Amino acid sequence: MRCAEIHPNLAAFVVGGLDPEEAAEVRSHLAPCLSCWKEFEELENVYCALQVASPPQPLPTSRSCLLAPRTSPI
Amino acid sequence: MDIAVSDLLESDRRQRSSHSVMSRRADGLSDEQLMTNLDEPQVEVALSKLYDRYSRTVYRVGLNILGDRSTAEELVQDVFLKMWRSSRTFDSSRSSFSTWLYRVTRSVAIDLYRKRAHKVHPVPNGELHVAAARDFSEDPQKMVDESWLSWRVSRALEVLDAPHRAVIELAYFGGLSQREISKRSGMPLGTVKSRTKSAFKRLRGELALEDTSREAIR
Repeated sequence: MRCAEIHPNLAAFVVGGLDPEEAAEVRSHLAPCLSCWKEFEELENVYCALQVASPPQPLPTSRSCLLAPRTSPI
Repeated sequence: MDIAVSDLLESDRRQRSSHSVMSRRADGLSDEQLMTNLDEPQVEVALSKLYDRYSRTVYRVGLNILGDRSTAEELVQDVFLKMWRSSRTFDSSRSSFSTWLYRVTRSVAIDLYRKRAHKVHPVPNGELHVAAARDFSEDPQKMVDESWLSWRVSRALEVLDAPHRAVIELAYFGGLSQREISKRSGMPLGTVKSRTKSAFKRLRGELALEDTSREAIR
């Protein structure tokens, strides 16, 4: 496959979201292709950074609580 | 003595009641401009706006460092109270508001962490249960580094627009394949892939834009 066909799939590959056949195509292209490998590494750095973020969760406190009286001493 | 945020706001309002107050919309103002407003009569609007922009980031960092929802929620409350009370210590020529608020968050988180480390809860079966905060006692710098990276990533996610953030959250945190996201959202598969790629590029740009030096967070 050509680089132009691989690039749209690289981010999806990094998050493990491709079908197995597509992932295999990306994998076999990456090894010999320096330019796609460089792009892959940059996306992989973002993926690693995401690992320190907690999954999205609703914030239990609404901002109205911030402006409401506190019940504990500060 | 119990002190309520609303009491403090009311007190501040009373102190300024002799001044003529012009209502002004806070929409579109920068974080730094809103901080200036914390010293003015429209403090509640400015405070609410900053809360909308940053509370989820503070909460996420709290979850990472402190390990449970209730303490993370306590962190959010304490950080915004401290932000308001310490607003005069913010100097936009020295750091961005985001970096300054990170420092406030780290300071409050360390206080809560220390409090928690000594907290022992009795549980119904009579055994003692130590609250499950993460253990940074052997490497406090790790807490600083992790919390700063966590802050930057959370901010980067916050500034993504909703469609791009949704794709990242479904793919990364939800573990869904691109095809599953397509089926669930009704978006064509090609659109899901291009949004994922575009979201990653934006995240990369946001993370690179942030000042990552340790000097910035001292």
